[in-house]
Amino acid sequence: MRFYASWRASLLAAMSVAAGLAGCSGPNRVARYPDGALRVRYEEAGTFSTCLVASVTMAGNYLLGERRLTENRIRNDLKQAGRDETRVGDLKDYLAETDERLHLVTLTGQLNDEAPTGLGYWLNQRGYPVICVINRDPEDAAFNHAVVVIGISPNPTGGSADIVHYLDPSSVEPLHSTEAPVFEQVWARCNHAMMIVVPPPAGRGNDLKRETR
Amino acid sequence: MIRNVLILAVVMMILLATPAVVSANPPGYPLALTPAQFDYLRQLETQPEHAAILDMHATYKSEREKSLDATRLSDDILTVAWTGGLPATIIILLIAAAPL
Repeated sequence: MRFYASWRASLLAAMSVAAGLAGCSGPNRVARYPDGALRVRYEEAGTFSTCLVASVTMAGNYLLGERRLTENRIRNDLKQAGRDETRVGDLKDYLAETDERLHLVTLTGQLNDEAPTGLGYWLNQRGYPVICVINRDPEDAAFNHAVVVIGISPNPTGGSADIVHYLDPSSVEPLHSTEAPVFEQVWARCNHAMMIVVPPPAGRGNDLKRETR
Repeated sequence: MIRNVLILAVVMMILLATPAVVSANPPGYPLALTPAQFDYLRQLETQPEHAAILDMHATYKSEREKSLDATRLSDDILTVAWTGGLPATIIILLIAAAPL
């Protein structure tokens, strides 16, 4: 009995050490949100191909006000339905069929406050996080990456360029803050693709579902 | 006396509420779309330049993923080497010790 107890204690200790070494500390969290940024709950991408799924999860949960969607759940649902987890159109169809009847607005955007395609319009005037597809590698056109922009704020160093704050589901550091011209450059490589998760107007949920099928 | 307390309470409420109101930019919760706005957006999405977004694929291998892949590969190689190497070592030792 004593042997069993000590063996069990040793096993638990070994598992704790292994978990610590493996960095098994759960999803990353945003330590501090920038002033004026939306407090979007961070969702980590499980694989390199699910940055879009994780981004949609973050935007959807922010809209719903709670963590109802998970990256894992959406990924499994898409797989069962034979859909492509990396394709924007497939995510749009999926959201329209969920219980919440969410709609993924898909637009070519711009870095200003003009309605309805301005990033600042959706963030600062409407209060929606915006999913943007960016490419940080000019050598590879296929390196499209989905991130969630949560705010645009004046440059604290006094520079003329605003700062764009976004959550990167595939990065060790969840929050990235970059000057607007730099963001514009990586965003332009993906044709300024942007998405906003919105609810259908009241009483339009079923109509929305029927139309998108 | 009661009047003064009430005035003080109102002043305090205004003072406490003011910073929250001033800093409420952007809105604390997404503003709902009207049916007209929603219909306009759906119409806008069908225009070719916006509709092209639907066929876009977002998949990205980050530096962290590359690092993880490298770790997984080295782990696999080590596992194979260890799994195959240990029996081989025992067999070699047994063969070597057989004359003794």
